[in-house]
Amino acid sequence: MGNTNDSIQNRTFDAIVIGSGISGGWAAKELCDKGLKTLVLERGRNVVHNKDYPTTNMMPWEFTHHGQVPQDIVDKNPVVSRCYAFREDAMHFFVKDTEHPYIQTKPFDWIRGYQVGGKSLLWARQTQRWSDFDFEGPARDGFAVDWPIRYKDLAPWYSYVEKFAGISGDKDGIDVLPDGEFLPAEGLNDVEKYFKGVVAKNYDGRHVIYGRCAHLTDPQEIHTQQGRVQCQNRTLCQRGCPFGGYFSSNSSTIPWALKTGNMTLRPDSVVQEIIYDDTKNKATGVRVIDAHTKSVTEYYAKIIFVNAAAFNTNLLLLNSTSRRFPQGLGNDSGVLGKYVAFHNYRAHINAICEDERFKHLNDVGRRPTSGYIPRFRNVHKQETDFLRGYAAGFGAGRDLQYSTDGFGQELKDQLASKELGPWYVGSHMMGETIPKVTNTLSLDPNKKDEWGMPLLDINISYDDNDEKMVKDFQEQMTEMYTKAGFTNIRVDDSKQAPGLDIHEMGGARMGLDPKTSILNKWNQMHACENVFVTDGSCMTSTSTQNPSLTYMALTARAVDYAVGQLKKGEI
Amino acid sequence: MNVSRRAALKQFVIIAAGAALLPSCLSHSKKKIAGYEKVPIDEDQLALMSGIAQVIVPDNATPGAKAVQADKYALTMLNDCYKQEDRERFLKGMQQFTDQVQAQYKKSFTACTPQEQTAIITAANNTKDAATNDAAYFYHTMKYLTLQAYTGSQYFLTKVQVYQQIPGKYIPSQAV
Repeated sequence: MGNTNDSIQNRTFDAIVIGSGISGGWAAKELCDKGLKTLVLERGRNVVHNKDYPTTNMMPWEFTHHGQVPQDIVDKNPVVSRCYAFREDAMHFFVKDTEHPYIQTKPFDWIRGYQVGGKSLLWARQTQRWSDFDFEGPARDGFAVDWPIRYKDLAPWYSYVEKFAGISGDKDGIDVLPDGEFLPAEGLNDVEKYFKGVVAKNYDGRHVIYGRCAHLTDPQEIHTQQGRVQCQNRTLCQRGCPFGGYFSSNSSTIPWALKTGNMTLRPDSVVQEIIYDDTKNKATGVRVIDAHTKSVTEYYAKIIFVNAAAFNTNLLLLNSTSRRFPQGLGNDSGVLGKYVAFHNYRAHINAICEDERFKHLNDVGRRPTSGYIPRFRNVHKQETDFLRGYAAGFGAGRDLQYSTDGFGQELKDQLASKELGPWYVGSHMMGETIPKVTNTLSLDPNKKDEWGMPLLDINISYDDNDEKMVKDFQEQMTEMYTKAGFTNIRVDDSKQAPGLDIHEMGGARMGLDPKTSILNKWNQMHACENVFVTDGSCMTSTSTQNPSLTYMALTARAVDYAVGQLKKGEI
Repeated sequence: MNVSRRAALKQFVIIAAGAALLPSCLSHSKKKIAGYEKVPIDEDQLALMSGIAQVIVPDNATPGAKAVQADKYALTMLNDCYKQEDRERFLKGMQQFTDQVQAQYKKSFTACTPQEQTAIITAANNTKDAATNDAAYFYHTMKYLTLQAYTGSQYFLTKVQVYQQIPGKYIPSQAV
């Protein structure tokens, strides 16, 4: 008995964080900074900054297949193989389909990273703030439910996380995309600036800007304290960065939390369920199965942060049933697992810029971001036959151009040519999708994985609004390209399944009303007050921005609130 | 016993199926190159691949296909990164290519003079029907893989078109 008590004591913490990705890392850092003994549970293996980046310094010729993924891996893992970053240099950071199956009632490419740091190792590092045009969207346009927060609630927290993470950007003064705390921008090139000018001249409210990104372009003391130095423009980020040039949990929040002495990090710990105590009316801890030994252990804490990544958080909450919550933890409303959404990334438009003024120019080095076009459709009022709109990435560049015709010395000479090809311009859409009750996540009643977790059943599809938006992006961008005099304009619709955007959101949404939402304005469960959910599953709507920065800000804000409540004895 | 008999039978069926898929001449008893199980070729066939790669990117005043081991790279890629049906086409095409050279020159490609080899590659290089002609598919795949090996090699990326792993900066729109 004595041993058991000791053991329970050893397994009791002030706080538990489930997941160590971009939001879990922030929860860990904030909780530890505030002095809470914090257990961070990560279902995957440990990835220690620098130590576990096996490919980071490899040269291109050192890869057996020069970057290509072997065909047997592609055949066995068709979903992850469709992800642009699943290449020979970074494939060890992705979940293989075969290892972690799920059910696709409708096709959904679910891209996952099960390791300490999660997908923060692999993200595209774009960090654009939301504005009230985003937070007020559902209420104005009559979908989902009203967000329980507005921009002013989050603005100081955006600043807070931006300063720590290090965000490179320009102050653009655009209402749809508020400015933040920026390190210097690396700038647009002349072709991009030219397009920016054409767009500004021809359209009100359309802007081409430098895409704000989580890269250290001028490290401040807070960054060197993290052991991070200036971005070296390698653009090999997906391998893990030895300089800590971009923000990841691995390079930043996790080692920071560890340094406080308050964090216990347990990799290989699959959380099966959050334990709810019907007598105490709160969650008391979590049940964990060891990924390798399969032994089951319970851990206890006063507060629990759920940061398992959007869909896995839904899975975990749905699987956490009790007498009080037979439909899943906090799910009095029945909306858990519903109203999930994503970003529509289907359309692209490419062209050539033949303008003589740029023929003698080229960029030197590599830029870890691109241009960005904030949403311009239906911003101030509804003006199209579809709801909401899209942002777009935009970039211009040029490469060496050589012919591979012929053979022999002639071919060798061609391959050595320093001649540059034309400037190409490219853009892709990032469309807001409308969360719908019919886009759902549920647990398969029979099938379980190796760790006893029910398989997640994903039932998500595009709708007519998305189709119209694809067409509108193609038309509007074609018009803008035409006005710029770009030639050889090619639009496409990849028809890719939802998921490859890797921006899945919702299912445990925030809202004012406990009858129609899971979380309140503090990311706190309406019905289970010591559980906070601050990853993508909390999102009431999706807007068009890459969501990670918003998760970081929501997390820091929620921790601040949770610890305050804890100290007051409210939870 | 039952199990091992079944296993043996299964193995036999697989071998038989493999043999059926391959052109008959390929299944002769010559020793196969080890390490590329999915590309069962012998030394003569490897010599053909090396020979073609050498004509495409010769080792002369500067390193070429041989220096960058284009033949082994091609084998690795065919073995690991190609679909089975494409490997089969490649091998079928290789046999057709071999047969065509034999028919025209009464000797193998590797036994041909440099002038003859140049003539053969000139003709192969002009083919535009790789989608339907297996011999053309074989040649153009060989060319593609040779170029991939050469342009992805340490020599090429440090001496010809220099790859900078750590640019350390981005400066837009510089005069070239």
